Amino acid sequence: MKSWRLFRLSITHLRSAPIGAAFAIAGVAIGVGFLVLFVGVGEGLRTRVLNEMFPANRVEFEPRRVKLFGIEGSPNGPGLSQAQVMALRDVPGVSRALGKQRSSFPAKLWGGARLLGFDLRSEAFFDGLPEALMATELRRSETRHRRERGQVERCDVAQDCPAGSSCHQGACAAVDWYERFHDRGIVRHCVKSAECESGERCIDGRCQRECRDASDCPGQRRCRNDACEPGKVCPRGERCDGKEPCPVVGVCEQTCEKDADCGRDGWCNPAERPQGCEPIRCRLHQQADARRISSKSRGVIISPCTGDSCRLKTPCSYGTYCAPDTPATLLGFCERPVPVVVNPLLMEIFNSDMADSLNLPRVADPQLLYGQRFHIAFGDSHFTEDAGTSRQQIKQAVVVGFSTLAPELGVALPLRLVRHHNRRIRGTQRVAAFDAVWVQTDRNERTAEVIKEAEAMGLSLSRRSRFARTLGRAVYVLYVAMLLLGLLVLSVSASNITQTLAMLVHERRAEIAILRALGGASWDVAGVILAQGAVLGVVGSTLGVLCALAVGEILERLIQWLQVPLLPEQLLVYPIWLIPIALTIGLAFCLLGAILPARRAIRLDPSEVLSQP
Amino acid sequence: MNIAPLVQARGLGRQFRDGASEKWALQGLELQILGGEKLAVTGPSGAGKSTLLRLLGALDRSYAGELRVNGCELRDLDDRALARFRGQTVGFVFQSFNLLPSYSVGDNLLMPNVLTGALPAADALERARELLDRVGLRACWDQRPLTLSGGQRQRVAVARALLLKPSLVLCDEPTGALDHDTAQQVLDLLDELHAEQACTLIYVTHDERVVARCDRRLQLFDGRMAERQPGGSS
Ligand SMILES: Nc1ncnc2c1ncn2[C@@H]1O[C@H](COP(=O)(O)OP(=O)(O)O)[C@@H](O)[C@H]1O
Ligand SMILES: [Mg+2]
Repeated sequence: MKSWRLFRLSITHLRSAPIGAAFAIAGVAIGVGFLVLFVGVGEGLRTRVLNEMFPANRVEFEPRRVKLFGIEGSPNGPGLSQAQVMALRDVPGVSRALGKQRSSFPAKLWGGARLLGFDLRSEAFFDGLPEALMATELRRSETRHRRERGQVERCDVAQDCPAGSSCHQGACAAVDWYERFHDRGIVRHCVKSAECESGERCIDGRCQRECRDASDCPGQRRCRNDACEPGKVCPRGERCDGKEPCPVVGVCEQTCEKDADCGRDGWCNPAERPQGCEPIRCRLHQQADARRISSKSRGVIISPCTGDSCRLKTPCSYGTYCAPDTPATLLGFCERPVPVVVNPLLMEIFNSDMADSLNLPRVADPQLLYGQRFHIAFGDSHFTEDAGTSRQQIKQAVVVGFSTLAPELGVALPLRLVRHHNRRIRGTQRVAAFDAVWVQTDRNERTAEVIKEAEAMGLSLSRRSRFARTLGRAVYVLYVAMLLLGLLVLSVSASNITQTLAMLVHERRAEIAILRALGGASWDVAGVILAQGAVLGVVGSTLGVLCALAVGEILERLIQWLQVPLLPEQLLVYPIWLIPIALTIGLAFCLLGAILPARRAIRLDPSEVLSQP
Repeated sequence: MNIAPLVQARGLGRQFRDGASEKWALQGLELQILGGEKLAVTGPSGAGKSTLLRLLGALDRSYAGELRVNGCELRDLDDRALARFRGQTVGFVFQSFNLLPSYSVGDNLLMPNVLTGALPAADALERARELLDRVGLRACWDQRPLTLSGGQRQRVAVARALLLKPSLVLCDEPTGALDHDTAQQVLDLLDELHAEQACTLIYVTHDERVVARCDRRLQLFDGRMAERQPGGSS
């Protein structure tokens, strides 16, 4: 009852100074509002933008380069050995380390007519990325993509999910895109065995695994590299995760009984014992097709024609095309397009700069790019000397996903393909070497340790990772600076409150003195003033939080409307602790501001006030 | 009388620092006030009357010498005990009434109990209503002090001073702001209540009619005392 009466007194006093109180409340609201908004934007930038583009637990290392006269050594330096990559894997805190290789040959790229109305042409740069890394990456982005669009369906087993998707970590995820980042079915042409991977030989002009039976193949995989989930055998005739039939390629990849066992781009060669799948020979209709192979360039099958499976004179089956051995020949194999992964940044760059200057339509939805086909001419160039027609090769490529691991101005290809073309076009000295290695740590906080460890091993952060870490730090500094700014505004409001309350104490000194004469202790009097601070604090902070949420909403709309590049649709992230903490901080600053006036009220000499007539 | 005095002051003094100079507003005061006494403190302006009243009411405890009320040295009380002393043992009536303008008359009356919690709320309410009735303002319970006349306000202040049955009621020029008739009414009221409540009443006043109503007069000159009987010839 006592506190309630005193509280009522505080309110009446405050109401008698409406302008001062309004200013005080506005100050607190602005301070708290800034705080909430800044944290919302900062958290959004950190988690939605920065962490998406550059996950803090993933860094890329390169061999350290010697700087000579300010010019860094050639990127085609000695590279990393398999042993170095393995050594990184043993560093504590590292959960995986996967080598990658850049293309070191010229290439041209064209396509996009279906999307843009005409073909966009460009020089092409590739990173060869390990399939294992890419599969997880794509699965992650795809699951997230679906979750953001509210399309998550919970599941326990694959049967719970709609057709075309499977159950992954309790949620249905389509396997469309990430399952396609495999180089299965793509014929790697060769002249000599050195151009092929270890364990392979150049047989009949293409790299083939040298094995007669399953015992020649490593593990239980039967020569199948990551065709299904790692470690899982995909037995003949069955389907990977209930999807496509097991894709098979190579001499001893898999035994087969009929052509259907070998998928769309293979046939069952009865000459092999045990029978094995082989790619299907085809021929293009005319020379122009070799330069402009399209999804229609399915040519005609010229071999095999045996037994029940004679497909002679029919085009390559749906989903495959006739890929000529070189641009100079009409002969080739039926195969699927090369899967590529694009950096989402490329889309942003295209949309924000290129589209306007080239007068092209913007690509509103990245989804539109999924499944887009284009061409890559390996060994050909707009800029430099090309590799000679016999070493060139034109392949169809298809976009199977987006990943920030892909180079910003290029595409990511399966590592084996890039390595193969590097060897074929640039020579064999680069065999087994990686250019760089992606390292993933088990926790963000361990990244710094791992970097130190890697540097001791003679590696250094790649330019990109260095940039990411600098950017991360910059965002962090910005974040902290904004928080400090918010606190500064709050401090100003606190001093504002001090002034308002001090004025009130002065105006109401008679009443305060009466309270003391009637038996009020110092604390009762201080309580009245502190309660005024608290009221200003609670009202101001609540108002501030509400305003911040409203402004945040407007900001989101604005971002969506302006289609700001790189910013996600939902930029602001409010952690659950934010609002209680903001309210507490607002209140604390107001109480702090009320301390001085409260002391003044305590020190006020009631006798002096009361004896004035 | 062999009852212990309510107030016992020995060598009581109060010094004020005015810039560099120091001034004794009150000096060497020897005073005994018995329970139930009615005392008038008089003297010219600046003599130290209000200073004395503040010391007695524990609004000021920076004094020299001894000052015991109910046998308790005021200087030794802590903030909370002093507050309780002011609320329960002392009742103040001021020249300028000093009601709380943002509270109703009823709430003003109850305030000493709100602050000290001396009585259960229901008892305090009953006593407040009784007192308001007693001072003839029963109808004004819900009114704001500003709507009342000067005499009415002072009567409310008197009622408020008596709420917790204080043993010492201190009145600093209670009639100073009132016209003659109203002043008489308030003084009559105080006299009656003094008789009823058996409290000690101390007036600070210039008014000889007030002095005439008292048992004893304490005359102050420049901080020092000269005691006389009212109307007496000594
Ligand atoms: N707070 C104070 N500071 C300085 N001097 C004071 C203070 N209060 C009273 N005095 C001085 O003490 C003397 C007595 O004052 P006071 O008790 O108010 O006189 P009275 O009430 O008899 O007119 C005066 O001379 C006054 O100047
Ligand atoms: Mg005076």
